[in-house]
Amino acid sequence: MIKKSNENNDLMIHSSLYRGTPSPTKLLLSLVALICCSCTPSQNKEDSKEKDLLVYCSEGSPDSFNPQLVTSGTSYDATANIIYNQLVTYKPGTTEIAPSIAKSWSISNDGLRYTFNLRKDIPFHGSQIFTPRRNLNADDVLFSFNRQRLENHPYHGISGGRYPYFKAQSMERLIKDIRKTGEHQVEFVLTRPESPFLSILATPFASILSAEYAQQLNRLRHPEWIDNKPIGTGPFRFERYEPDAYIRYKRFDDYFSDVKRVKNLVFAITPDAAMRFARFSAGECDVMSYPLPVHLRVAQKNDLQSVQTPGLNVAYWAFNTEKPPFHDAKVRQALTMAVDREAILQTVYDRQATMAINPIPPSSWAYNKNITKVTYSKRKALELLKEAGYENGFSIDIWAMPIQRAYNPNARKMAEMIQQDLADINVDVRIITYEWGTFLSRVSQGLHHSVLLGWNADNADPNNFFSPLLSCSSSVSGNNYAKWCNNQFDDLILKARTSSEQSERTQYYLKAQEIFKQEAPWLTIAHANNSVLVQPEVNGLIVSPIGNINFEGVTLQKPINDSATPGASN
Amino acid sequence: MIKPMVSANQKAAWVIFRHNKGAMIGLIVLSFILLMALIGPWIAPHDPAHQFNTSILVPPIWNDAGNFQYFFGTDDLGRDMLSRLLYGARLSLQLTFMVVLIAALIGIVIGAAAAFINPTLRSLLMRIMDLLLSFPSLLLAIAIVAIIGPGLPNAIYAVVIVLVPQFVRITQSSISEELNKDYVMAARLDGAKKLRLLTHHVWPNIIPALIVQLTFSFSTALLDIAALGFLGLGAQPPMAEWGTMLSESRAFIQFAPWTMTLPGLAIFLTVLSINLVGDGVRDALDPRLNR
Amino acid sequence: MLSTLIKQLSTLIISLLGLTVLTFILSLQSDTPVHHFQSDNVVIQYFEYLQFLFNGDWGTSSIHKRSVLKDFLQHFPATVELIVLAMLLAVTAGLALGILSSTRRGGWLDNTLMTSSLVGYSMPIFWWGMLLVLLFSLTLGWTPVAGRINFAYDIEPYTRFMLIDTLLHHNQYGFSAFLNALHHLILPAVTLSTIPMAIVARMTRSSLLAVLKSEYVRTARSKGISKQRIIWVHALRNALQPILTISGVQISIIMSGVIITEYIFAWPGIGKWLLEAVSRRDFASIQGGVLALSIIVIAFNLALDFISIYLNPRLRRPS
Repeated sequence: MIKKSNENNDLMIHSSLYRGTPSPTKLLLSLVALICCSCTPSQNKEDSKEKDLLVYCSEGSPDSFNPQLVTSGTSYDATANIIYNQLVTYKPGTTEIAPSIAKSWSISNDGLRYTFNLRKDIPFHGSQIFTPRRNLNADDVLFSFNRQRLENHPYHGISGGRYPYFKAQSMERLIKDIRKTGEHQVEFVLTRPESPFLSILATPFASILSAEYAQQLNRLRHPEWIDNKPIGTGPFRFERYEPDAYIRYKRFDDYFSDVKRVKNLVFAITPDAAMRFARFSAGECDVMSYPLPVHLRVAQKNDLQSVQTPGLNVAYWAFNTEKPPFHDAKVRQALTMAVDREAILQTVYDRQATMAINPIPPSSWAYNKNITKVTYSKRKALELLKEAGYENGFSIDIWAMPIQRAYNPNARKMAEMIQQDLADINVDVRIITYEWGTFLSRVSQGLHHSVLLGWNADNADPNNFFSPLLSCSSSVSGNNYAKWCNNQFDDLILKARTSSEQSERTQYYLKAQEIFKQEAPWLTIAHANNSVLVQPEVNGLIVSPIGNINFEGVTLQKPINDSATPGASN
Repeated sequence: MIKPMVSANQKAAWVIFRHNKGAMIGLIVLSFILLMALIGPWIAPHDPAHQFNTSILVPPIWNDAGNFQYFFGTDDLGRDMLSRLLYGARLSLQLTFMVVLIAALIGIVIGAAAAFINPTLRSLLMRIMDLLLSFPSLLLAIAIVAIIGPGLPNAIYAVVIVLVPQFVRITQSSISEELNKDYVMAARLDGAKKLRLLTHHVWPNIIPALIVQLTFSFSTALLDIAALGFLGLGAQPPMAEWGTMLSESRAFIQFAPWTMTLPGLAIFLTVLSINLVGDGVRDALDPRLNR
Repeated sequence: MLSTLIKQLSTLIISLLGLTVLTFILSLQSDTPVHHFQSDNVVIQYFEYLQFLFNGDWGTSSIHKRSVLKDFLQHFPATVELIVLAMLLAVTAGLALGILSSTRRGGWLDNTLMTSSLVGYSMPIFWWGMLLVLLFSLTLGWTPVAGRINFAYDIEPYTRFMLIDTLLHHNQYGFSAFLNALHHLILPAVTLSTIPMAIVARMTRSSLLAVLKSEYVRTARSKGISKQRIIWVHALRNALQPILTISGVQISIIMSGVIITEYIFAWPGIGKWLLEAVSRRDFASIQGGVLALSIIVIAFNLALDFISIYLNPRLRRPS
């Protein structure tokens, strides 16, 4: 009884408290209203255009904002032509050298002295922690190179002290001295004549940093900020970086060139190629990097624009000549004849590449047109193997790179196709891969049996293919993953490197390519096109043969027809 | 001796099931899908791996640009969707059955053993099972695949490991429950040995619970395998697994929605019908758990 | 009370043990060593590993050369935002649907809702997300395809919770940035909330039905108190207990779901980070991510257990 009345009291008290409680239906309706409230038709495109914002869907996060410390194309794309400038540069879309920070230069007769006259009107970026008090001068050039060159330089050890490109090009052996011969004049003294030197100075690692900023950072006791809070002279200044998400840049209004560019630049980092393409198709990016061959095909079918250019690159299958059976040239030749490269071009590249006959692409001035491609004949391959004494077959490993690159969108697939081809000539293939950093480091140590890799040139000089990839010195400590050292070949490319006469150099290179064909340290596979996809309102984007993205001269314009496809054009 | 009263229940169960509209629909759809999976290779118009290079992203027949040759259209590599869906049915269902049966076998054996071991050990074992069950299944699968590598066989191991604890728990708790019942006490008093107790008396009575668990595990396994395929951790391209097909369609949803909607629909309908049948089976066998 | 505490503690220890063994094995898979161990003995290495974890050194990512723990904490707020909004949607809509269908039992609404919940339960979340994108983003153009906010808004990541950060920028953008962030959140949140919503709806319905049949509710009805008040006052309170129980299961489902959702929407949270680590074989990040996510699940379950015990005194006695 007592319980009952208590219950009643409870109910009565509670019911008074809960008077006016919304019914479930009302709750549901208000929820729906909230959802619909935020579902207004997308304001995205209008906002972007008003803010003069260009969104570039990039394929990865940069390893550093200082191109001196890295060699990956992704890192260069985020820095070299965006935040920094070099002494010289290429005319847009070509391989012709043009002035940049240096307005003129002269080379001594013996090819050992390069004197650069610097522009006086180049300001550096400012940031919250740095206000530059002077324009660029010789001190900055000296700082940038000496940091890499001199081990006792105060900034040498900062951020790891490894300058992979500088070391790979053996710059410290090439450059004898760098002298400041005037407030705006610098002299490079070389140990030997090196014709590609100007091309080398156009490479991202030769970007010019601010010595003043370095001093300021020393005072602030944060020298490493020079590499992750970058200050340069380039068309855009670095604003913010959210790892794996985006990089924001703002137009540098005091840039020394008055070339047109957008006010806001964002790199939307999207490593997943399918997602990148989906974002581009939906109009969330204005430019998309590294479209896969199938994306290009679908883009073509649906009237989406692409900008393409034949790339200065090569994809190859390198045989580690230090390990049997690859020490035998006959075996190498035999294997090159057994692979169906046409099928690879179709399946892996979707025909967005040309078959590689020589290690350098046809666009290079040193290309040997007279060399014919390797015959595809499994029968001949078997014969050759028999001659070499391997008629019973053998097993090999192919190390396939785990990431996509323009020159090789799918090394794994390529390895599988080669595996199938070689099965027909009694060669057993095991495919091996590792995480990229580990992969590279193991391959550099020569642990591989054979490897599928590639090379994207850093500069337009043919030497940039031959020396780093096929010279004797690079077989010891460089990118010569075939570990191949042929004295005759080496001699030729060295001569080509030191001669300053282009016609003479061409002759050397032509002969070198003949030796390469005979010795077959690689199977050259393809030269891929460099391409990006662009929205119709992007104007002025030029893709360079050597691949680093450049947004100078790129502007956004409303297209002429206003038909609103959802999300796409506007 | 008190006989387990199963046969009468079986008839009653079927009657209940038959009257459950949802369950019957599920059964029909599921049977149709099973049929397609079985005869798939014979009725598929094309080789699912063949790439028709000139027919990339052709729409299905109900679209203006579609044609009869590729009934459900083609994907981004020019492969016929219908053929791939049929082979995918075969693959997905085979994998699901295999995974569930292996997990059930392992789980039931462990669960049965657990019901007879010493209570502290049992409680420890069950605690571990509970922990595994509370662990997000996909996270566990990802961790396992990260260790042993991506690919179909490894995805199978991962999903089996994820499913086993459910079977262990249901077996153990069902057996324990039965062991406390009167008829078992009676049999024990009669002198029945443990093993006979298990096989002759207890087992027939726990079958309903196990069957219910089996049906739900089917849907979980199918979804997990497809999810792993979708994330690129399970069946790898060019295998025609539905989840993998969905993954490959991501870049082209805008231009070729059928490459996404059709494989997804296949997964959805299969899982839905399994769940409908499962619900029906549960209602039929265990009316106490009335909805 | 003490014995239940001991029980909880032992569960906690066992789970952490099992978990750290798993992540230890994961870290050993790395091509470049995650930690540098002094000993060669695997067992001693495991204890060194535990020491590293306690000191906050969870390894360095081989890809980005950043501290794994730092990476995790940077990406975490994005995931939290998504999960919180999804849970809110799931619970409110699920409760509402469950209540509605239980009060109109057998009607068309009840049947539709029960069917929809079964459908939601059977739906592969990765397909559902893509369908939503197809409809709302690509066909109707109402929502964006990916990302947390339109790049036109330059939002400095103070807290890394986009909804908070956009409000902190309201001097610059007014409320449009906040609305835009919400805009980007809607589709992923709806995708993620669907399965939990279905479960909550079903659960609410069944426990409400059970309670509504009970004696004291019938007594209340006979006294003339309206159904609405009965639901809110008594029925829900009693129905909440089973819902709380399954919330433990919910967090698992949501964790699995958030990984897939982030993948579909390129949402820069933990799930996407973990998947990218797996594809790049960045084992340092993988073990860190698995460890962190599992600790969260364990902590959540522990908290739930304590809340249940507090609410339901019957659980305090050992069974």
